[in-house]
Amino acid sequence: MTKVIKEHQLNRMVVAACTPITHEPLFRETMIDAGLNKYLFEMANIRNQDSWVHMKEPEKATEKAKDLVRMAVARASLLKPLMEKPLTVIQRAVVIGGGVAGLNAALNLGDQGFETIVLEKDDQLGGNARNIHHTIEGLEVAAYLDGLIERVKSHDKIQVLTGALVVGYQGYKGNFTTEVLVGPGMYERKIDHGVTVVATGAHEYQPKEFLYGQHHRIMTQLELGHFLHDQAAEAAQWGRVAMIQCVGSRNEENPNCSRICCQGAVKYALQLKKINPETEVLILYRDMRTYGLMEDYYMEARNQGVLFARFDPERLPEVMNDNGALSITFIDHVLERPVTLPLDAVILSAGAWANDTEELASLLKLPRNASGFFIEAHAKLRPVDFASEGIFLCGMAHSPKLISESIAQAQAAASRAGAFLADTNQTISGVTAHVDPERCAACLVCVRTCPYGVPQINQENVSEINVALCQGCGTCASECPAKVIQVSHFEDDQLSAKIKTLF
Amino acid sequence: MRLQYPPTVRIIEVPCTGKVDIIHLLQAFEYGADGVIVVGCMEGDCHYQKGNLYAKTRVKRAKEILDKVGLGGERVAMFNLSSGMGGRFAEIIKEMTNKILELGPSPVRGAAAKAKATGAAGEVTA
Ligand SMILES: Cc1cc2nc3c(=O)[nH]c(=O)nc-3n(C[C@H](O)[C@H](O)[C@H](O)COP(=O)(O)OP(=O)(O)OC[C@H]3O[C@@H](n4cnc5c(N)ncnc54)[C@H](O)[C@@H]3O)c2cc1C
Ligand code: SF4
Ligand code: SF4
Ligand code: SF4
Repeated sequence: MTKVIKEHQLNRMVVAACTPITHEPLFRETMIDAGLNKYLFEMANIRNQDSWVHMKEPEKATEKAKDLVRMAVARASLLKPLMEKPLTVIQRAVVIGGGVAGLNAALNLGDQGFETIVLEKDDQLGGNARNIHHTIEGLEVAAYLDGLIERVKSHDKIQVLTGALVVGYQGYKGNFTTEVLVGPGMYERKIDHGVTVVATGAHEYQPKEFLYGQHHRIMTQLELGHFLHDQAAEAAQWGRVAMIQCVGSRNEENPNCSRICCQGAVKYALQLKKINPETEVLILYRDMRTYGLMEDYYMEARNQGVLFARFDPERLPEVMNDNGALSITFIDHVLERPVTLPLDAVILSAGAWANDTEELASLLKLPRNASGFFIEAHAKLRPVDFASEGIFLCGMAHSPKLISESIAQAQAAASRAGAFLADTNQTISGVTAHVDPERCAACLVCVRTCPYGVPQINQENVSEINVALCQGCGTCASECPAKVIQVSHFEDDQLSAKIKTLF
Repeated sequence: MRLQYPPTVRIIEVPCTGKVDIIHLLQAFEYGADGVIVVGCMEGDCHYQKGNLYAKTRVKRAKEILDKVGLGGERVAMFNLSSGMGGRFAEIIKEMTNKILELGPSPVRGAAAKAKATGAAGEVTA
């Protein structure tokens, strides 16, 4: 390609091939090598948008391919070279959340040699892992956690602030400033940093259903874990225990599966059987989701006589408390008849709910789903990045996951964040909005529209957009009543050209 | 996934549906498109916070204008999809194509049916 560009003295390039998401960066590199501005490049995606999806209609697909190429050429002819400003990157990381995920991310960044500050809002580190005694494989969590905390605290590159509340967040990739109120004294601290890792975690749902809170033997999985740890001898006396799955998950209020509670039930069932093989354990489930190798433990539980009975979400089991005597009634899916059994304990497999991050999300301007979990930039291509560059994500803040999975994701996030910090030759994207100051009416529409609060009315009384902060989404441009904002690389005429060329 | 859908649609990528200008929606009809689809992220899941909500109101306004000028507001529609919903994308293209075939070609052009859509960049990986 470089040769052809030079030979024919080309000044623009259109590639008709596959998706720009994976290939545009490569071709842009080639443009640069050939001495052309990388923005003078356009791709027609005749694979994903055409040959793959119209396999049985080759003639029409060919017509479409011609259209797609025509559209790309039309836009390419109007593309402008854009200059990218160099970006300074402050060599410091902030990790928000001091659970297993945040601590691992911090340790990894510290080991890479980057100064890292952990902000934990609680007065102690560890997060939800403090509530787990061992994993399904039998690994001791407390010992691991203590070691992890010790390594983080004694690391010469890592500083830990507990009781730290994020109250302000400004800047852009490579140049963030986080304001925190720290400790009981609430003293204010401003931290300048280049990257942020969000690891704010999740907690166990507090059930409202199945008489939770009305009897000391109706408990959640985490409460059972503590009970088995502290009062194993008493648990050994239990004759029959029922576990109810999907409590606070897969319902109207929280449509998501919490992923971890099926393995949790199997883990605790095996533990009960270990303490006393005579204890009858009944797991009332909707679907058993012991994914991956945890299926082995599910099989083991079945072999050890743990009973699994499926229930229909339309016909939930009913827990009864008759003057302290517990029992359960459920419709057996084989007998199609209600079965009532007396019980010594009821365990509610309560789901994992995202920690409250409403304020944090709005300060950092990060997207969350309806359940409050943060959303990565792309599930496959950028799984630990946020769409806003320089901010990364790991652990249960993203979705419910096991300790092992949180650690793996924390390491991924730390390696992405470390790569960002290490890359000191970065530039600011040229795809940003620009105001024509001559024609701006200072109507404030863009100021109010921008999700990132970028446009501001300057001293000349016109709107001004800081290109370092602008994300290039284009929302302001489409709202501006005077039509005086253009987003570089997606200018109105460049889009119109694509439309016009079709007809 | 390579799900099949009718070859009636031409995709125009934008950074975010927040960039989909009402002028461009109407321009497509002016030049003769039979229908326009705007495909954005799920509501509440916008990569840029709320661009898709702005797009929603603009599509609504475009519908009203198309109704007024007699082209029919049904010719423009917005859909919210996540990157994992290629199957739904294919369905939408089928449904929209059938709807346009029912409505007939746009009176602006009067030629053979050919629908055209705009979509948010990177969101659709059918
Ligand atoms: C009910 C339940 C059962 C589980 N069972 C198992 C199991 O059996 N086996 C297993 O391997 N894993 C289990 N897990 C998962 C395990 O707990 C996590 O994967 C692991 O602890 C990592 O969590 P994390 O660090 O992402 O989040 P967390 O442990 O929740 O830590 C997040 C930290 O961030 C802090 N924080 C939150 N918001 C802010 C803020 N705005 N500013 C500063 N700090 C903030 C919190 O105080 C907390 O300390 C379970 C989880 C739940 C909820
Ligand atoms: S992991 Fe199991 S118990 Fe938990 S929500 Fe999913 S299906 Fe229900
Ligand atoms: S919306 Fe347009 S006219 Fe209004 S202040 Fe912003 S740039 Fe100026
Ligand atoms: S393009 Fe988006 S981020 Fe940039 S100023 Fe406009 S609305 Fe804000």
